Amino acid sequence: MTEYLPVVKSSQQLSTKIDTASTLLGRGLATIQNKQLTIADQDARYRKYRDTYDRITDYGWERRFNPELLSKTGKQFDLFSDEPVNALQPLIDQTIQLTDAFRQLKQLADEGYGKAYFIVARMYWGGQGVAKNVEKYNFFNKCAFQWLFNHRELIDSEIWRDLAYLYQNGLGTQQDDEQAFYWFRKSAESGNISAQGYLGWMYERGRGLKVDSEMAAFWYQNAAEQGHPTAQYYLGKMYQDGRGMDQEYTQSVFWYRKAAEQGQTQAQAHLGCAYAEGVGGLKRDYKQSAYWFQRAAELGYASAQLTLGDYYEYGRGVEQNNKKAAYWYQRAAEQGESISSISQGFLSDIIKNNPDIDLSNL
Amino acid sequence: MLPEEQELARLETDQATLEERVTSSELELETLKIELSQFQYRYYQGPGRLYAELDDWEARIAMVEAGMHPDDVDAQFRAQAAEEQARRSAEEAGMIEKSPLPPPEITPETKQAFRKAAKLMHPDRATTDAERERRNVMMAKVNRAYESGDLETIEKLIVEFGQDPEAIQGDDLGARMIKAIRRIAQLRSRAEEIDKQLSETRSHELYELMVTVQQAEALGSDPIGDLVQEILRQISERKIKLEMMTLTQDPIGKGLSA
Repeated sequence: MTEYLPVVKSSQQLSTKIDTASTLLGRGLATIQNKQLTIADQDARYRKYRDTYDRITDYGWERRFNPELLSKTGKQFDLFSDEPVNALQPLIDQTIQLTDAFRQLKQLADEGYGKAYFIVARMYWGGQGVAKNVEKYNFFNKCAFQWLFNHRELIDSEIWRDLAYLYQNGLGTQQDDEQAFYWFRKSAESGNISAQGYLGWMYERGRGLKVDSEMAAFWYQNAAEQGHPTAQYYLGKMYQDGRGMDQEYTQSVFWYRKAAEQGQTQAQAHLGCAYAEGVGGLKRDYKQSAYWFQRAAELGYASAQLTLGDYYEYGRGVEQNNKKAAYWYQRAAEQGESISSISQGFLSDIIKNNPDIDLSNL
Repeated sequence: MLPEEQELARLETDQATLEERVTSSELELETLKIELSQFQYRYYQGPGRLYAELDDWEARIAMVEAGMHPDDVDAQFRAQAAEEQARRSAEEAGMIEKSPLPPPEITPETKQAFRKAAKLMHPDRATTDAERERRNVMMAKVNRAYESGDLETIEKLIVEFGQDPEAIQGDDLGARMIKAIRRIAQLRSRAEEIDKQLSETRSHELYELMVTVQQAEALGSDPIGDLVQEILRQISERKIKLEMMTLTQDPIGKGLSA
């Protein structure tokens, strides 16, 4: 007679599907183990590449980056050569940095780092480091809005700023100037430079509230004093137009210069104009004018490229050179903005009169 | 003392030691199973259920894609696979949901009472079938009470059991020695079996998961919470994707400021 061995039975049996490796358990385990590795430096990576983006595009205000432009420049650029082979080298350098930043930020978005959604969406629209993709733009904007909205209680001025931007442009949600204003103000008041700039912009144009030039100038000043290039430009413009303050050309030029030195292309172009007209305490100086238009043109600013073309055609501040003129007209024409038709016109004129210029080689 | 008496004393000491060990092991195994079932319940309530939902959304997306490209064999195949996966996950998650609620926390006092009861009522100590049967019944009641963390009931059962009728009194030396030897053999075998069950249990994914989570929680993080967030985020992405797929031409987001 065999001894009966009692088994202490539990009424809770473990899941018997042990051999078929419970997928739900396995997935959870894998995710948790992976997360512990990647989550450590996500914040740091995001910060680094968002800052790169903000620096190059001036918090997204600059929209010069069009990757299609690069392929049309004709000449191949050699990254390791001393001499810039391509006159648009500064633009190319920036675009390369943006491409790199995009890859990293997209990686973060794929890892589930919610903050990255916004910036990835933004990049998909403007061709900033990645080809334009409307579908992904819409998708990520929606993801971004959901995530930002759900995390709006966090004390993070960047989240508020991004959320405000989405409201302002109706991305991922209904357009709502009042909400935009609320969140920009919240962000600006906690010191976010970019939000301060946007807030000034809203006051200037009366979006979500009545036009208030004084408040606009106030916020632009705040951001400008902290080194925000586009805010400096807008402030300079307000001084030039005499809105919210007395018309003050010297102040205007002062702020244009500050922005121009940081690579703000519109400011560079305006500074170029100021030199051409000899205003704001400047002596008329075409050489200086050409210098600043050149800087803006090299960074891809269409309007400056057009002007620079004009300077080369008529030898203003630079040595007359039809080939270079044609080059810059061509660059401007490629940008597909309203400049294009004007530029096309100038270009065809110059080609007519100078048959030795080879279009395909520009 | 006669040499036989010495031998008997030694055997009975061995037996007592083994009983102690077996009881401890029983306790360990039972507690582990309860811990695991508590954890399992917690996990399936959170991430488990959400994974099933995630797979469901994936399946829906795959179905829509297959519908949009009826000639694409791969798409059809993917849709099928996704549906399978969703069904499996739902089944796995649903099965756990149907099981009863897990027991509450087991206190040290409850554990102590269990040990006491187990030592007292262990069926291995029975010498007759009737007694063995009685002990089996009592032990089962004790087990159930332990699973519910019901200290009171365990203590009541101990009292109910009364004095141990099997306390060997007055039998002759030889018989007592034989009994002791048999019991030792039983206990050894039982100990081995419990050890085997313990190591089997510890090789489950569920155990590894529970330990990983406990370690992380000891360091102050909340891996289950993070996992839930992560799955919710993925679900959110799928929902948006599906929404975009089923709408006709979504109007492009309005232009940019500045």
